[in-house]
Amino acid sequence: MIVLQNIITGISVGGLYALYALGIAVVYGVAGIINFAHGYFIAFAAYVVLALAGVPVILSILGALVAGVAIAVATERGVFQFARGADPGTLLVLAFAVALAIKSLLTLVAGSDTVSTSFGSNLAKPLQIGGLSIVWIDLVTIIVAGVMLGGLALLLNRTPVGVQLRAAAQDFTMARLVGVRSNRVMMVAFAVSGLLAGVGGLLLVVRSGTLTPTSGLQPVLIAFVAVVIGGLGSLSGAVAGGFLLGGTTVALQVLLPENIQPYRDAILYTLVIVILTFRPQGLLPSANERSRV
Amino acid sequence: MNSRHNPLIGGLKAAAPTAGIVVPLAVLVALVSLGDQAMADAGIGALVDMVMAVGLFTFWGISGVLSFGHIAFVSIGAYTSALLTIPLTTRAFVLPALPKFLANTETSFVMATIVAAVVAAAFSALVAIPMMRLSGDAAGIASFALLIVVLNVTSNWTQLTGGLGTLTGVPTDLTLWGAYACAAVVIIAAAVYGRSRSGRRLRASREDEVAAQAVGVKVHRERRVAFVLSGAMMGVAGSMYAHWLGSFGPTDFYMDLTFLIVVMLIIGGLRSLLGAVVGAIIVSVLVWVLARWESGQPVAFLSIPLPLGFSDLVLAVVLVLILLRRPDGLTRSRELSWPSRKRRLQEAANAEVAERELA
Repeated sequence: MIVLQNIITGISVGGLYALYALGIAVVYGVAGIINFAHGYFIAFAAYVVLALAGVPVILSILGALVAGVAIAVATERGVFQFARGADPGTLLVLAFAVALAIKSLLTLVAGSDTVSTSFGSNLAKPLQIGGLSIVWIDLVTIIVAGVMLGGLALLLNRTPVGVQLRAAAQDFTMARLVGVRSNRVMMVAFAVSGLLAGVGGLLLVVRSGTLTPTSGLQPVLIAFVAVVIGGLGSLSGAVAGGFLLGGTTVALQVLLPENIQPYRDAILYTLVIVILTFRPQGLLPSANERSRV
Repeated sequence: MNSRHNPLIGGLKAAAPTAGIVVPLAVLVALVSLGDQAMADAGIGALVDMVMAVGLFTFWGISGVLSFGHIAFVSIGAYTSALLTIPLTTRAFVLPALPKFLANTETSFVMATIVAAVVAAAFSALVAIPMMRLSGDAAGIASFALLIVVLNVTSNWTQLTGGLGTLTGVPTDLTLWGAYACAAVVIIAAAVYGRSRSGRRLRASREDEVAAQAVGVKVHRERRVAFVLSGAMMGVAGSMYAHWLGSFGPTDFYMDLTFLIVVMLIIGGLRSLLGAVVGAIIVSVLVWVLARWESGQPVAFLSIPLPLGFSDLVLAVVLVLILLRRPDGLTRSRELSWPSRKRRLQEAANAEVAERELA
């Protein structure tokens, strides 16, 4: 029973991480930007949920999604649009700068103190099924992640814009040559990542109940790791990486001896460096990411 | 051509750009020393940050491989220095569980700084083994991972670091001129390395990695050399940081400081030593002025009330603008040099080539 319970927790955490990672992977695939600001898109959406305290839940949810998409698209239009073709280092530093800008905006508006909310706090109650005790939010996370992943798969495989997106991710120049409009496809990529950030923000608020302007850091670091494990530029890899990381995190939590427990993150991120050393393109790289020299 | 054969002239020519940084910096420091104690403290802080910027330049600027993880070495330098210099009586109180040899050794600032540099260099040598094989995006992510690993360990190794709380009791004996001396040593070291064989090879690999390898440059080895040297510089900066503030915690050495130093380096000009120094000065002054306004104090009798967090926003916007409009920074990543006929001719020729390539 305990094992089954841990597996469910693992799937739920993994689903959350997969959503974080997908947001990074969608943008990386098309624009080649490791979007450090993605975590702060999430934090921004989460703050909007807080600001909308008191309105019907459905409006809060809508507000978070709109906020995520809006900030992501604004970032693309306002900053990244002007840096097409810059080298990866410059793009990463640029994303770093955007992250700080969003963080300081949040500090300016909401202050740097921790704020707490009761939004969705009734989801923290456990649900008893036989001997199993599952927290509602874990169940909700699994369902939401499933819906998002399914929806994204449909979008990418069944709609013209999704096909264009995948084409641009595979070979940007070639896609442009056959008539894919680059600005539009970039905006769609950022909008999708913003939508994922909005969902991530909602789940973040409900799961933690508290927020600070730096709340965006943890999700983006998790997403980095998941994307690296899964292979940069590969969407299915990002999902696999998210679930693998979520599972590993929960497993380490359960299996590590008490006195090593605090060093879980150190172990996890050392593993990341080791993986990168032997597989710089990730464990499951997409075909076009292999070295071409 | 003469300079090739006459070591004296060659040496002077090599030393001139460095003197052009170190001497004006001394004048600036002398000006700051005329102010009050708060002014001197701000000046020391700026010099500490400058050492970090120069240390980061020594790796990132010369090799072209980005790193967000260098602040980890600052952390290690700070803790090493603190463990050697907190007075023994205080130490038994703040860190009761220290191993014996650490509980009974007390050294001067200079000695502690040297040890901090060595420890940070040793750690960076260890880290360099896997990390120097990476470049581009993978290098960026791995360097974040390094920062997180060190933060996680310093936050939890309570026996050695006092844990997540603030470690207090480090003597605040770093004077303005002491900080200047450290900065000058680090700047000269960076300049000497930049002109050394290894530095030049590394620069070649930055411009074109494949071509550099083709002419026999062992890129990974040269990167390791620069990484260890810059690690040592970060260790020096850490020791200075500890003796500047007297107390610090693990989270001092995380994203905020990383961001500040990256901003300094890029605003000044990523690929030149002059850029690192100029960027550190400009950003320090900017942050100081904005911080005073945020806290309601006047600067030059001018008081503009700013909300908290405003200076970060300014830094972020300036960084974005520099990256988009002037990616080589305010100095255009150039070093100081004597004006000479030969160089003017060379520059004219370069411009012509560039024009022809465009046409």
